[in-house]
Amino acid sequence: MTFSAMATWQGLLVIALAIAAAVWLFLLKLKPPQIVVPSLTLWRVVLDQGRDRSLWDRIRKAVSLVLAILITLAIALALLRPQAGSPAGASVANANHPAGDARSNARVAIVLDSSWSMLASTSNGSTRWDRAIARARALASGAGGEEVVLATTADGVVEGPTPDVSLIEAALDRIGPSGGNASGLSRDLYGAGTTYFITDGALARSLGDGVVVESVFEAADNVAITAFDVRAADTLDSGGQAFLSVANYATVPQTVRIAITRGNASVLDVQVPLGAGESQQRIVPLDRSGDARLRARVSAKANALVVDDEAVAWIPGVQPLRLTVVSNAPSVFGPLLADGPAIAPTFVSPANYTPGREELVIFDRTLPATPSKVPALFIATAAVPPIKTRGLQTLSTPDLAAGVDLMTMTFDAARRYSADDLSAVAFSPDPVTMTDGRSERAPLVYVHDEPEQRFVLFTFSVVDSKMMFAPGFPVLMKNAIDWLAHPVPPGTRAPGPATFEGTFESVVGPDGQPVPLTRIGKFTVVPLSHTGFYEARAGNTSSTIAVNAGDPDISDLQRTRLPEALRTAAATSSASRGRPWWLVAAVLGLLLIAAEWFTWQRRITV
Amino acid sequence: MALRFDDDFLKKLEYLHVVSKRAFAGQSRADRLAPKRGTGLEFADHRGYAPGDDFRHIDWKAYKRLNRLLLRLFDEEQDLPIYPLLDTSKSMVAPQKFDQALKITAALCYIGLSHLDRVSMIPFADKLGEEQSPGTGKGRIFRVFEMLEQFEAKGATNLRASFREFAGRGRRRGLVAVISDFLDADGSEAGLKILRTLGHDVFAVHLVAQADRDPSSIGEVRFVDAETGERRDIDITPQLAEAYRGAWQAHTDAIEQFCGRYDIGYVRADAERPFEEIILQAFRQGRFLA
Repeated sequence: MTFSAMATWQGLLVIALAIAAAVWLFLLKLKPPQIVVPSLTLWRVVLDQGRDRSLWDRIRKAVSLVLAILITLAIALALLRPQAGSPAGASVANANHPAGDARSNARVAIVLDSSWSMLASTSNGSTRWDRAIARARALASGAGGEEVVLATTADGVVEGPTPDVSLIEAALDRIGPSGGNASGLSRDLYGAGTTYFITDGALARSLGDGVVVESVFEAADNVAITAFDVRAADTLDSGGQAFLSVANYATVPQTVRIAITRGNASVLDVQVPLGAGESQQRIVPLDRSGDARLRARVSAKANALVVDDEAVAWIPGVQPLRLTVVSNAPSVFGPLLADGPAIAPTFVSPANYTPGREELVIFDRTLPATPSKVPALFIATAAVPPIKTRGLQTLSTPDLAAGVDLMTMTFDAARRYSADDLSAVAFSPDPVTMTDGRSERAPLVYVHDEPEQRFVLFTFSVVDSKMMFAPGFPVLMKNAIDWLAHPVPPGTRAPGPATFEGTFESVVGPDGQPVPLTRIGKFTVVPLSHTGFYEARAGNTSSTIAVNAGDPDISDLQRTRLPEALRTAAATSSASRGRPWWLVAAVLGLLLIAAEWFTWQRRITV
Repeated sequence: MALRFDDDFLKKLEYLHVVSKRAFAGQSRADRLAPKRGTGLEFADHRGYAPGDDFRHIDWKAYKRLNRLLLRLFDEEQDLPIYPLLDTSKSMVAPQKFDQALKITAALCYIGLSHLDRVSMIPFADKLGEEQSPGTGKGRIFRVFEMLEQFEAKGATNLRASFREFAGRGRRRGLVAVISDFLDADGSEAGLKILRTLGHDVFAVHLVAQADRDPSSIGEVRFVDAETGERRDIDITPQLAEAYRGAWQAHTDAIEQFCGRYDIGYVRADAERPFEEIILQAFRQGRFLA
């Protein structure tokens, strides 16, 4: 048995003391008002004549005492909120290790499943997450002074280890579901004797020995967007296609309203009947013009989870990339860059170039007067004697050679750059990521990826070679431009921490606030904690990331991967928890007080 | 407390007189008919002359007609001994009860004085107190007031001991008005029976206060016996209060029945009732005053 804010023995002691105090107060002879009467003769007669006392007269004092004890007990229980057995109610220890045996180490780890399904509403109006928080509080309070570690599947450890329950309480107040799909848990992960994993079992996770699973699962009806994305246009007159998948995870058929908006314009608004467990996919053609932001919403009567009712997608290519080519041979690059709607090139000669509003610059065999802060593609810029080279062999990140048919490309010569040469190009040169296969290892492509400046340097010339005719070169060119134009790969992602290769200046969340970034070497970890559009910025370029929570695993609230015993136990405890029981105890205490007061006023009880 | 009656009330009292069911021999000439023939003004009867009789009472006219010596007899009008026995035990100290008793005593005294009766006020509690005789004549009422003002409530009630002592003093028979609440732990019957046995005409004036009739509070209280100081914690429930009221009613009924059985006049005087109303209505209805 555990109590909300104290150890078991403390809770029992408090209850015992409260009852003892109630009995003492009940039996305490309060000095009654003193009244002088002419004579006690008649009172003596009345009291001594052994008048017939009814059964109620004989037991009413005992009944009143019992009422007083019940009132005290109800109020004490309402305040202490003890929980019998497992502190969290429906629980089961993983493998063959019962929960109690796992307490060889004093530390207690409480891990909350922070997947989005935890936001599902339950029958009593609270969410699975609310239940999980309540259980976590009970577990933390019942730790009895032991160290507690609090973690979520999305954020890892968020507090502790600490014996200070108030810190855990404060952490529980500030955390919330934010995705996270940690695939496994083990007792050793947090160095804890007992690891409590509070989950609804929406996602499959492997659990190590000694992990006690606490279930907050309660089946619920839901309607969700399980997939929403945009396929880029393959023709000049098309804006692409939106793909939408809607599912009715309810036990009954219901009509689902589906609405897609592009900016403020409505693209689709229909009501479709969906059977129980049925899903429907739609492909919606998109116009060339319009807002790049696409939103889809579904609504239905039985819908326990809100977060998967809306999904977003970004339409690529709707806003052409502003590209400036600084070259004396624009005719070479013209056909290369004019084959798609996503790029709006401007050609200028080196003599006429001045930095403008362009998002990307290609410097062909020339250098700007001042280092460019705009992402740039430099092509054989410095006047360094070319050396003989052959083929691409080493391909590193970013994968600029993705899709490049190396067999079609022949590199006859490349320029060797010294550190001084590269300094002229950038503020700080970066290692080579592409080299040829010869012993001289002459680099063919330099990539510089820093938040202040991002550039790609081709050491081989396009104009002075036959590269224009190599089938793989346009692909290499496109890869380079895409990488420069998009700090992160655009597309749709699931919520949770996302790791991106490369660096960028900042990421702005759906709420317009910057998102804290964690840089680890060449990788940046971005916590995509909410659904909606995120914008990653680097120089004048930016990438939009669409984050959607909808997922068959998350949205199907009828399903859980918990063992059957836990599922039924959770359902039972859920049913019994229509309202918090301590509230019932408090109400019972008040009712008993009212009854005692009423009967006392009428001298029915003592 | 200053006992004073207004003039109107005193005038009303003068029209009243204490009703005695029997005639008692008095000491002095007064308004009340004595049981013996005497020297009054009212002719009562004739009887034959016997040697030694006063010649002045021979009815010579009758001698002339009947040729017999007959003696004229006259009613004797004497005073009535009135003994207001005032309960001065502490049980009378309840609000208004003692005051009411003093007023009633004063009124009886005034009525008696105005008819030249001999009034002797005697307080009692657990024993008989000092007899107070103001004299005769209604002018002595102020002396009565002064005497009554000296009375104070003290001691427990013991009617039997007090009246036994009253009997032991060997007074002339007369009208005894017992003004009491009759809250005697040993019962009031024995005491009243003593008075009745002595041949007095006894009237019981039963003073009752609201506090005597009905419990003043509901709940846990500590009652203190005003006479003995005994304390008793009592949880007064509605049922218990009802039982007390029943016991009280039985108590008063028992006194009244006893008085009826022993030819003792019984008048109940509620302390809360206006005093004039008690004197002018209740006492007359109880045939104590006429």
